[in-house]
Amino acid sequence: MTKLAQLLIIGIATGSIYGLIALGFTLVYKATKVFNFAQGDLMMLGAYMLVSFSSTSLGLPAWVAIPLALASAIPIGLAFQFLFARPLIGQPFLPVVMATIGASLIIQAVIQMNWGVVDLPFESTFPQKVFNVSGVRVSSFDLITIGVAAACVALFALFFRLTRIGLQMRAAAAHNEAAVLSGINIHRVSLIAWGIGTMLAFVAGVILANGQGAVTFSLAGLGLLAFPAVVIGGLESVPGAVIGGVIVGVLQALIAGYYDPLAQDSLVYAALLLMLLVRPTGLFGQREIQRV
Amino acid sequence: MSAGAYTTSYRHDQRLVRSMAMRVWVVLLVAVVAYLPWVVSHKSAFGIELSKHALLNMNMTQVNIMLIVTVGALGLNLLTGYTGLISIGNAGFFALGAIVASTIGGMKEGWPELPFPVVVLAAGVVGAVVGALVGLPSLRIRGIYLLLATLGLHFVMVFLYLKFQVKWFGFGGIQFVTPASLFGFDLNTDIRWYYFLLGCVAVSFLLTKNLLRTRQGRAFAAVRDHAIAASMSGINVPRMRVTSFAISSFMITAIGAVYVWYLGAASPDNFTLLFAIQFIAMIVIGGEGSLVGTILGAALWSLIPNALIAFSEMAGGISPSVNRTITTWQTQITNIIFGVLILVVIVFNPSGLAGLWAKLKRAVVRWPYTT
Repeated sequence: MTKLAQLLIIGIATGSIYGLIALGFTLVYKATKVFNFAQGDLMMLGAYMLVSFSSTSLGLPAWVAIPLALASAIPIGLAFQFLFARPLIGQPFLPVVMATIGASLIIQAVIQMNWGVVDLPFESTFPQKVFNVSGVRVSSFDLITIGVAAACVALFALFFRLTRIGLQMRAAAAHNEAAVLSGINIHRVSLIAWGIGTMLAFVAGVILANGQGAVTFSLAGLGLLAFPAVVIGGLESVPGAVIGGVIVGVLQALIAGYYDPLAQDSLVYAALLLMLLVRPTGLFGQREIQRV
Repeated sequence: MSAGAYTTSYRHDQRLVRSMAMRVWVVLLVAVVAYLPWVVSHKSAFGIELSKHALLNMNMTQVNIMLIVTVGALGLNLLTGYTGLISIGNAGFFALGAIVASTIGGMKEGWPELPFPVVVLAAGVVGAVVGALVGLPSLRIRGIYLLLATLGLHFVMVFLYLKFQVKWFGFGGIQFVTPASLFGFDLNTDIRWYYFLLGCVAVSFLLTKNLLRTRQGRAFAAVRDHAIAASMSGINVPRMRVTSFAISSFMITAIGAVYVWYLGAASPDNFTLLFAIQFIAMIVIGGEGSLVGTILGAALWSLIPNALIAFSEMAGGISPSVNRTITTWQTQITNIIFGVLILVVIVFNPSGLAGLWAKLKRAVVRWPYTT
């Protein structure tokens, strides 16, 4: 029982990180219909940006480095939109997804050339405390992760409901052409979606850099786990992305705890295949009606 | 004189080689590919010595790998270029080919040692079945789901491969020690492999080309162009998609078995996601929906790494730092070139190298009239 509770805590914490990456992906997908294959690579870029600002050359304290790393998401996200998404507006799904696959190739190569292929040690700047709740060890890192993810989701929901630009984004997602006709600046909506989407990826990257004790190239593999999350949650569902992320994290923790840590990723992908078999639209996705 | 080759009858439209010019090209191509191994291994053509750099630093292994990936890319282009679906599962299917080849190819004592061609075909059949099973659910919905399903397939397959390899062959990887032999013709030198692989490319090229000229192939194109319209004209869209994915998986898994046999050893490092992504780069750069373009894309893919080295050696005389950068980051620079090329091709010239060639040809044929 204690073991189960322990695994659940760990799973929910890592799952919230996947949820954040998946949330950014879903946001961009809904607003601009771009299937961003490079979302995980953007997350990795965020982790490396944090390392650049804090530990290596500049040596800034955490309370400066983390906001700086997050702020760098905005120019990077906008540049990404400008280079990879904007030239392909209105194109069918296939070329667009290929462009983001190309982007993934470029980002990974640039990261390796800029920061090297060896692991970069990174000392966590998060408080290191472990609480013992009747046998279950809860670290402050887990709590911070869950808290940050929950805050992001709440902010996100409020932003969508209450602000003008949030309303415009919902309109653009619901019906792109109707949104254009009612005077919504689609380019601006797209830019903001990419900015926020990249920012969410960077938040996940910053948390992961602090959690892992080192920034390595293996983060690219972690970033890809956002895809099982969005499939399980439903490709276009915002709550689905977060819940899917948590499900993926919990699944991983349970597999690692009860079966074999080496199998955790591949069995999650097996769950993805199973989900596509049973319910391809995901838990929260809606059935699509195709019109000519 | 006619300005270009025009179709004058239905029979003519169906012909494989449609014009005199094309016949000349085919003959030239056969002559060049037959002569190529001699040029590469002796570093001279028609008695003229060629420097290493003039040959773009080519070697026979590289040429053979190029032929292997060409078959894989042809399979992927059948799926992507002709049926409008995208798969990132190529590396997974290659791993599946390695598993099949090592179980029935006589790599393990106590297991059957079937002849090489039988093993390759068996790998293809297993690949087709796995492809159909994986594709079945996702292909019923929308094209995008196949990308996700094959992403899942990739990780599951590579994990299965790892488990299999560790359990049966240990951590060092699978060694393919049995000599490959084709009806008594031993594939023991690079040149012999070259002619065998050339045959593989020719067979898959002609099979794909012929498939696309049949009712089935036209149905694939209809599904790609407009799935709903295709289903309205009586085409069973999910069935066409699954068929296309199964045929493409057949080709990719079969050549995967050949690939590991050619390498002589296989480990999970051979089957990375990057490896799968490179196939997508090849067909995009070469031209989606063009078989000749696929070959051009695969050729470019295998020429670039060594050509980069050749370039850096030449540039090293002028600027040693350029040389150092290129040799250190060879893979990364190759990938950046590919990423940029994908983007440039998609934005400015969606028909790829094949489209460029067609444009050039039209400009020459119709000169001085421009289109």
